[in-house]
Amino acid sequence: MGKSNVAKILRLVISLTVICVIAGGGLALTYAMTEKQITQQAAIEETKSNKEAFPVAKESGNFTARDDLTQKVHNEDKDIQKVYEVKVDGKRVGWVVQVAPRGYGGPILFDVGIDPKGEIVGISVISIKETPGLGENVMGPEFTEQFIGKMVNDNLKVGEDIDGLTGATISSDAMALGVKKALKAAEMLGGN
Amino acid sequence: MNAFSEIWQDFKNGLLVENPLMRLMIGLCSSLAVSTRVENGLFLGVGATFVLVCSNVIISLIRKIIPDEVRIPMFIVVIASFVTIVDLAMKAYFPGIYDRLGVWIPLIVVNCMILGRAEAFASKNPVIRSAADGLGMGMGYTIVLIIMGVVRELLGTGSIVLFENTIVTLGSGFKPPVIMIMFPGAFLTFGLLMALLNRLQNRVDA
Repeated sequence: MGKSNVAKILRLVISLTVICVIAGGGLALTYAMTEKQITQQAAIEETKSNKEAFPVAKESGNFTARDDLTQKVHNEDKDIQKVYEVKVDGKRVGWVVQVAPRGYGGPILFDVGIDPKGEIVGISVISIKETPGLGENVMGPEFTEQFIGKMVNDNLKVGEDIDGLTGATISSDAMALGVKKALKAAEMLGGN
Repeated sequence: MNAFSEIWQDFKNGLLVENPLMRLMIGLCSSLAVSTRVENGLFLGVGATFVLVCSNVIISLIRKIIPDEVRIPMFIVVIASFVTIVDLAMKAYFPGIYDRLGVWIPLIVVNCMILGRAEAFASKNPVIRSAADGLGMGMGYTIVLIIMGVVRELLGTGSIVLFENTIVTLGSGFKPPVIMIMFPGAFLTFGLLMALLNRLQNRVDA
């Protein structure tokens, strides 16, 4: 290899290294600037959705993510994402179970509020990638309110005790399945 | 031609004469996937425009010191960095829309419009002209996304919703043809829009 060849390769290596280092620095800076906002935003969304799923605890309720219990139910069912203990005045009034069943466009992440009797008190969708104007409508109250009062022994089958949305069979089924899973998880948690 | 009119020309170029979607036909996949809603199109368009302008400026600045053999990887590093910045910023400030756009934000990296402009324009032209080119191309892209979004969202869902406010609605009597929201609707809208544009162009030329 001639001397000029070495110089040439060295030049390529140096240019690429320099640009990568600069890019890396810029990204680290952006990350540091947005990190706090991203976690804050996530926490806000989380509380908002929790409250919607458990209307009774909206004013004075306290939602605590229970990682120990989440671990337990997640091992049984991978679709269960999180378990929150809902307390009012220091007394437990139920659970909020976060599930992510597979829909048409990806997982539909939503919260299910369940009282100590095992009845659903509310449903709140956190993130959804279903088709706009079709599957996405399962997040609307017309669809979700059907689940209120349902218990683990109910069928929860679209076409039986749940009315699916026209043209959104997969999304409707996914929601019904997610609710069923949340109810099963709550049953497992029981008085725990 | 003086400098100002040259810059104006570069900017105007991307809007219509060389509109990336309608004329150059690059960056099509994202336009078909994202134009289901006006809001999605707007945000992806703005994100892509930001990346396009910034990467054009940086690439133009370093165009004389980039070794020719590694120019593509260097372009990609620059583009990917700006895309990551957009990704983080949207996640922080518009989480709802970030969620809905999903994979299409990181995929701006591989939008051929951006690498295409870096290679065809920014690597050969001075900074201000490259910025004008990026802005024009980006806005041309955004405008087409918005037009497609208006047609598809209005016909496919019966109303247009922007930032959780309903802007226009066709009333409850209107039964939206679902096909407009699905992929065939994207092709249909795109094809008809292009036909319309060609017809207008022919008129002007004649």
